[in-house]
Amino acid sequence: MNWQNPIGFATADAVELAVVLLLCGIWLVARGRIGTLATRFASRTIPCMIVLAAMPVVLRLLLLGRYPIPEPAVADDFSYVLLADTLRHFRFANPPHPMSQFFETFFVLQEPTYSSIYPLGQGLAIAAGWLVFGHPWAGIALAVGALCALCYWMLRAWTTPGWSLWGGILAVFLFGPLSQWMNSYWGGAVSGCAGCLVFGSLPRLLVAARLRHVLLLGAGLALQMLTRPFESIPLMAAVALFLLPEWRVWRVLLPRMAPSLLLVVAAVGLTALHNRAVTGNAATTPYQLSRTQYGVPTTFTFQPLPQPQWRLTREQGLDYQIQSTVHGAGPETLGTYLARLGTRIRYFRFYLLPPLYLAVPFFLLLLRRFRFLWVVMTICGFLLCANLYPYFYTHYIAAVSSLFILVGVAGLERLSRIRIRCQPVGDQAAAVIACVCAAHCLFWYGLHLFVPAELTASLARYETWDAINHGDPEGRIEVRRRLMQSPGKQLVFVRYGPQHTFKEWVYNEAQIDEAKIVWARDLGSEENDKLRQYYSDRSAWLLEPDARPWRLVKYEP
Amino acid sequence: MAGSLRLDAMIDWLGLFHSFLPFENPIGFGAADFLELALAAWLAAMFLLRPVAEPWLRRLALRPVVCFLLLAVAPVSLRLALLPHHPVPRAETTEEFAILRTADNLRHFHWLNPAHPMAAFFGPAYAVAQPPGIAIPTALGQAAGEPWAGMVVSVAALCAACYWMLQAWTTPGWALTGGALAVCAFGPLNGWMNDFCGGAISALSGCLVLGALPRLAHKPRWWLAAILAAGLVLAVLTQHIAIVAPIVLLLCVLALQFLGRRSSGHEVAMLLVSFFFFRFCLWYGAHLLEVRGGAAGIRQYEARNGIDRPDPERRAVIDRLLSEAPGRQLVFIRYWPGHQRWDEWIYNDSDIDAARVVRARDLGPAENERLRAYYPDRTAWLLEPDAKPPKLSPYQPEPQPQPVAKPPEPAQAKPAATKPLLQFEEVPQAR
Repeated sequence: MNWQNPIGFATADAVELAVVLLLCGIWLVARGRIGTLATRFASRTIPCMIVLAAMPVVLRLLLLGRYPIPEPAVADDFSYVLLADTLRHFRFANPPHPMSQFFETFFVLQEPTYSSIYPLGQGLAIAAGWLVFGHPWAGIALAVGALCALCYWMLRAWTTPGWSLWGGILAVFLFGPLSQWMNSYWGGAVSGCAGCLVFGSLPRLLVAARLRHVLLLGAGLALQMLTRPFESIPLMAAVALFLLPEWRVWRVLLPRMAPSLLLVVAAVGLTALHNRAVTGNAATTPYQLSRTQYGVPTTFTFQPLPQPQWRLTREQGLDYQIQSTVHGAGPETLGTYLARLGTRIRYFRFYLLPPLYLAVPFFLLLLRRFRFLWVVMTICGFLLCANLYPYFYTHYIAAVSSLFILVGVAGLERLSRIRIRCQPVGDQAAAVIACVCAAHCLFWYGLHLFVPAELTASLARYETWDAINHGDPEGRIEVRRRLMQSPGKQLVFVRYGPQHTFKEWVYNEAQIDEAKIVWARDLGSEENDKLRQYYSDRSAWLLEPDARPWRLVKYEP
Repeated sequence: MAGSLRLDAMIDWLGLFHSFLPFENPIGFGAADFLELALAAWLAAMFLLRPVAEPWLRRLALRPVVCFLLLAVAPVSLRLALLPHHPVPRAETTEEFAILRTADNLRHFHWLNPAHPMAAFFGPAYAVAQPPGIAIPTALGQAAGEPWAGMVVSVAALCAACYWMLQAWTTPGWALTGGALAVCAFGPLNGWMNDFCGGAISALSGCLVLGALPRLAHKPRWWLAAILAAGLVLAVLTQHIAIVAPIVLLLCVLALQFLGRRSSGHEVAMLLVSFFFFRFCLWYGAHLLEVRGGAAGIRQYEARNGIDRPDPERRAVIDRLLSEAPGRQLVFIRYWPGHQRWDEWIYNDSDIDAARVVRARDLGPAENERLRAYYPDRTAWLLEPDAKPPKLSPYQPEPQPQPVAKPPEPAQAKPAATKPLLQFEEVPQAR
């Protein structure tokens, strides 16, 4: 309130002052000596990549005091962590558990093996971080660091070093410390890295078909295949489309593409091995098997609704119903397809800061060149493919995240070349848009880092598309802490209330029997006693997560 | 109006501002995103249009009379454009009514009114003494038939005077910029244009003094001395803190000019000025279009909003009803418990007995009867402004509550020596 504030400032005044100071400060820095140094530094590829890789990690670590390391919170998170846990024990699948009825949860197979339903890529990244640093989130942070560095590397093939560095910094703030990709286990960054490798290699290959660029292209395609197999189809189509008009270099290029092909074949082989280990059939993915057994994840919109073959728990049944509703029982028509496509435009905001929307019209001026037209076609291709699925999340098209940044950066670069009455005003206009972007990033990050929680909360509804984990709203951290502090091994029966929906608490490590805490569904005292006998050395607890506040007590049959 | 309707229709069709929840907004934008986009577009346009606009503005700045007139007309026309959503303000506070009464006195060329024999009914607006200077614009407005017109003219004069003052201190370009800043700061959205407290006339006195002094130092002229004297007299007559406003404006413009001389400073100064204009246009646009739906939520963050009056229509409705009633009127005002102190309804002309409508405090049936006897030819009304909407009904004296005999208290041993901590006097209730 302005009358209660000692200097008469209301919230809007404080925000205005902060924005003006940031704008002027950034302008002075960018146009001054530091700006000159940064432009010089931008042409040093490796140091830039190191700085950009470190930036999101360091910035997120600085926030740890107020925003702790993210805990898995939704079903997908748990399934990815299970996948990583399995992989870090150097196997693709875990043997089925004899008491598996207690461990039924979302997106996890219990038969023929106890495994996650997801493809390998994201799990590999989490497992790598877990093995090296002892925590699964380390893998997420490292993947985001790699994405930011690779964004810069990719942009170097498309634009000037200065704009590439700026694009890399933009990636730090778009996909970095405040982003959902860094604060959940769903990922996005790994597929984003795959896209960067492909889109950065392609223009370089046309300049000089070096082995490393061929290998990097193959690595990108392989990584995408391991991470998001379906979305690797539009990526491969985009590669083919990029090379199509360059028929003059085919004779030179195609014979040298063998290493790329080899890497793709290796990824296919690895996927087949994973499939075989989990489902028993190299051609059946865990994802497909889950659809057969549980009816989820749902099918493409042009396919009929899946029918679960297994008996579902109440929560699994609810999930199946919801997914079936979103899928729709009726046939897909052009009208429903286009209507759904229209709703996906809003997700562009995740990849572009609001001021960068001003750069898009200037990017359109570049479409006379095929390679920029190709950028638009690739993004559209991904969107059209992703639109075949009833759900949409930002990581579905993460591979083209760097292309969105390219659209913004190339558009600004085009704007910067505009002269009016012989004056280079476009340069200043582009600089001021870039400054507003920087002010946006610094404002929200600074708010989370420095400003008291009450004020941050009052502005939270104006912070769009950031998704940093706030505190411990469901009590997961506290419940886990209490159980970890209890001596010996623990067995927790989870009892949901009648209104419970999808917030799953039953999740377990890859090696259930060795885990310090085993989470099990409450199946009634008679069945529960069987599990207690199986785990006779464990202290039994009853958790009621739907109670307000949640309740954790010693289990009494 | 038609343009505004077309814009509304277009926005409705796109559904852009129906919701600021990212997953409900068609382009995934929240309120802050729209603001950011608008700010970036504004600043980029400023830089892009600079080669075209700057020479034109420089030429304009060299024509002081045109600038002077433009800056005087701008706040008036901008405020008049807001009238559909923000009608002519009416006095609402004790202070404003006191100023209106002072203005009425000035208009009739007398400083004081004789004490009214029924003064208890007409306080407190009569008890507050106001410096006569700040009532000058209102008096001029009253003479023209609408007191608020005087306030509008005083703001127009202030904006033009700011430009005139700045001309003596800085370059023509910066003087014009400063004048435009004054229009934004003191113009249509400011309280000085939307209340009757006379801030603008006091600030005007400051402009006259600050504008005359450097000119006098440069070349003494009798008319400059006269302006200086007028400014000083006005300052003494107004005794208002608003006199510092021109000093603050002058310091800001000089600071911007100083900044503009440094390397990269010119662009920073341009950024600052552009941001200020953006801020003004944003809020002015919000008031002009009277944004609805999710966009209306943005208004709660408007600080220092001087244009929104609590509900000007409620006073207009009552005034209209009273003006339509035949003959002369006497209105008893009855406030409800919890009435806001600043929301004053008891105000009268300087010559109360000659006024067509007399507004009086409701002091209870017995006292009210005395006033009714004093004004036997007036129709009595009861007005309850705290009702929603305010309730005006013919006055009907209520029966005096008869004292009720208390039942004998049960015999109880009372400590004779103890005194109650607090003692309340029995006050007869009005209702």
